[in-house]
Amino acid sequence: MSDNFYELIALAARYLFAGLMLLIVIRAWRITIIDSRRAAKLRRWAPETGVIGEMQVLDGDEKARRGMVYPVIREGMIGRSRKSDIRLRSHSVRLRHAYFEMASDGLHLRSAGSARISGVNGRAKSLILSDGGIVRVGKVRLMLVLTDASVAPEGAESTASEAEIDSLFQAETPVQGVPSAGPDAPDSDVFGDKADDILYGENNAQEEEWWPRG
Amino acid sequence: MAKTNISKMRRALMRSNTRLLLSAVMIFQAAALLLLALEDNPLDVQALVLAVAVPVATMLVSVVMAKIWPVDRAIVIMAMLLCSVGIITLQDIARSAVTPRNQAIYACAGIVAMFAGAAFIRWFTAWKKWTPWLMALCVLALLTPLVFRDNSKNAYNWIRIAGISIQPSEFIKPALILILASGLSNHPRFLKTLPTLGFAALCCGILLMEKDLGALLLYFLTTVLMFFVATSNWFLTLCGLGMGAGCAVIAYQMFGYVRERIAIWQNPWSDPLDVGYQVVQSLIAIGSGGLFGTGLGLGMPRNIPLYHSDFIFAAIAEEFGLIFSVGLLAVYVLLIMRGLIVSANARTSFHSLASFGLVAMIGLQTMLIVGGNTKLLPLTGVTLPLISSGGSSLVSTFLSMGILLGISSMNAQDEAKDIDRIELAEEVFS
Repeated sequence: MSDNFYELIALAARYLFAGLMLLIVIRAWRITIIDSRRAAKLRRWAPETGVIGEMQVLDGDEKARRGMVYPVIREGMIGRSRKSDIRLRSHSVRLRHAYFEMASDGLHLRSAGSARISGVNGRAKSLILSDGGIVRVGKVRLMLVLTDASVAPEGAESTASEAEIDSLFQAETPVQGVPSAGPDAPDSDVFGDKADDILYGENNAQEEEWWPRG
Repeated sequence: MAKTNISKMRRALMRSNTRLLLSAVMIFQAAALLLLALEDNPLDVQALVLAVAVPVATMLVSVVMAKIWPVDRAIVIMAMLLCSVGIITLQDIARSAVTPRNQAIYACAGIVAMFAGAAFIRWFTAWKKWTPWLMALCVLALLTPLVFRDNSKNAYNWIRIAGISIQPSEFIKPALILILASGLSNHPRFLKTLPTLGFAALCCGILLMEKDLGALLLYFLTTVLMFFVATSNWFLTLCGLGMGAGCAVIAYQMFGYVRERIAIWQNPWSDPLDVGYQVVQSLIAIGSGGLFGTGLGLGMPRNIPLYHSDFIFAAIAEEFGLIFSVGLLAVYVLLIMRGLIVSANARTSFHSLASFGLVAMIGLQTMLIVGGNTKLLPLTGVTLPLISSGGSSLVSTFLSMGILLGISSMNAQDEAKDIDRIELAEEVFS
C-alpha cells in the first residue's frame, strides 16, 4: 500500500477512534448510572439484604421488647447507636456493644471493649452461637434463628425450653412458670393477626421500617 | 401487589445491557488492527491474525464468564478494552514483531488467571486460617530476587525461571491486599492490626532493599488507604502518612538517585539530553499529538525511551490524540467506580476491603505513571495496568480483576437469593 494512501486512511481513522472511545466512555457511564438507579430501587423495596437469619428477643428491656425480631446479616454490629446492624434500644446496651461475624461453625460474637455479653456458660468475651443459641446482651436476651440451618453443627439444639419457645406464640403471657399451650389452646393462631403483632412488635410501624411488609 | 413488587425487584437485579459497549469495543479493535495490517507493503500477517483474534477473544471472554458466574460484564469488557489498547499500541510502535506477540500470549495467560482469580475468591472462605501461611509465602517470594538475581535487568527485583523474567513484587500485590483485608476485617482493635501492619512494613523494607521505589510507594499508600477504610481512624492514618513522609525525606537525603529524580521532575530541561531525556521526549510527544493524534503509524514515539512500558501513555497520546487518551483515563475511572460499587455491596468486610484494595491499587498505579508521563509527579517505575508491556504486570492485574469479578458475582447471587426469600415470605404470609 503506497505511503500517501495509507497516510490518508490513517488520518481519517483518527476521528473514528476518537469517536469510538467517546462512545465507549459515554455508554459505560450510562450503564453505571442506570445500574445505580436500579440498585437504589431494589434497596427501597428490600433494605436488608444478605439476611442469614434473625434474632428474637426473649427477655426485653426498655424499647427492645419481648417478641421483637431483628434480621441478622453476615457481619455486623450489635448496639444502641443508629449505625448498628442490630439496634437494641435499651440503655443497658452500649452504643457499640458487640461485633458478630458468620463463620462455618456458627455466628461468632465478640464484645467491644468491656461490654457485657453472656452465653450458656456465663459472661464471655467472645462466643459462638449456632441455630437456636441464646445470648444475653446487656439486659436483653436474644435467640438466634438461622434460615439456612445447615450451618448448625450436628446435634445442635436450642437451649431455650419448649415452654419459652411456645410462649413466643402466645398472647401476652410472661415466660416464668407458664404451662405449655398444647394442641387444645383456642387462640394459638400462629399466622393470624395477633401473632403478627407479637412476632413483629406493635411498635414496628412507628420505628424504622427494617422489614417492609406488603 | 406482592407479585409486581417481586417482578420489579427482579428487573432491578438484572444489570444493564452491555451489547452496545461490547460492539463498540470490538469495532475499535478490528478497525485499529486492520489499519495496522495495511501499513506495511505486503500485508502484515500478525496484525491480520490479531484483527480477528482480539475482538473474538473479547466477545468470548465476556460471554463465557457471564455464563459461568453472574459477574459484572462491564468490568470484563473494559478490562479487555485496556488490554487490547496495549496490544494495538505495541503492534504499532514496537521495533520487533515479537513484543506484541508476547503481549498477546501473556494476555491469554492473564485471561486464564482472571478465571482462576474469580474461582479462587468464591472458594476462599477460611481466610483467617490461611493468612499466616500467605504471609510467609509472600515474604519468601519477595526475598527471592535478592537470592536469585536476574542479571539481565537493571533493577534488582527480577528473577528468571525457565527463560522467562518474572517480577515477584507484581504477583505479591493481590496477595498483599488479601492479607490486609483479612487482617483488617470486622473492626479489629488497633493492637490486633499490628501483625498485619508489621507484615506490610516488612514487605516495604524488602522492596527498599531491592530499590523498587515505585512498588514501595504503591504498597505503602494502599496499606494506609485500606487501614483508613477499615478503621475510620483519622489520627492513626495521618500518623502513618506522616511516618511515610518522614521516610521519604530521609530517603531524599540519603539516596542520590532520589535527589536526581526530584530535580529532573522540577526542571527536566536542565539536562534535556541525558537524565531529563525521558520526560522531555514524553512531553514533546504528548504535545505533538494534538486533539486527534498524529494518526496510527504516523507518529515518532520511538524517540521516547521505554516507550513500550513506562511511557506507553505518552506514545498513545501522540498517535491517538488527547480525546482518546482522556477517554482512556475515563475508562480507568469507570473501572474504579464499578469496583467501588462492588466493594460497597459486598456482604462481608473481608470481601469489601479486598475489592477496595484491588481497585485502589489500580487507581494509584495509573495515577503514578500518568503523572510521571505528564510531569505532574516524579517518575516512578510502575507500569500502566493492563496496557504496558510486561508479562508479570499483565497477569497479576488480570488476577486482581478476576478477584474483583468473583466478588461481584457473589454479590449478585446474594441479591437473587434475597429476592427469592422475600418472594417466599410473601407467598407464605399473604
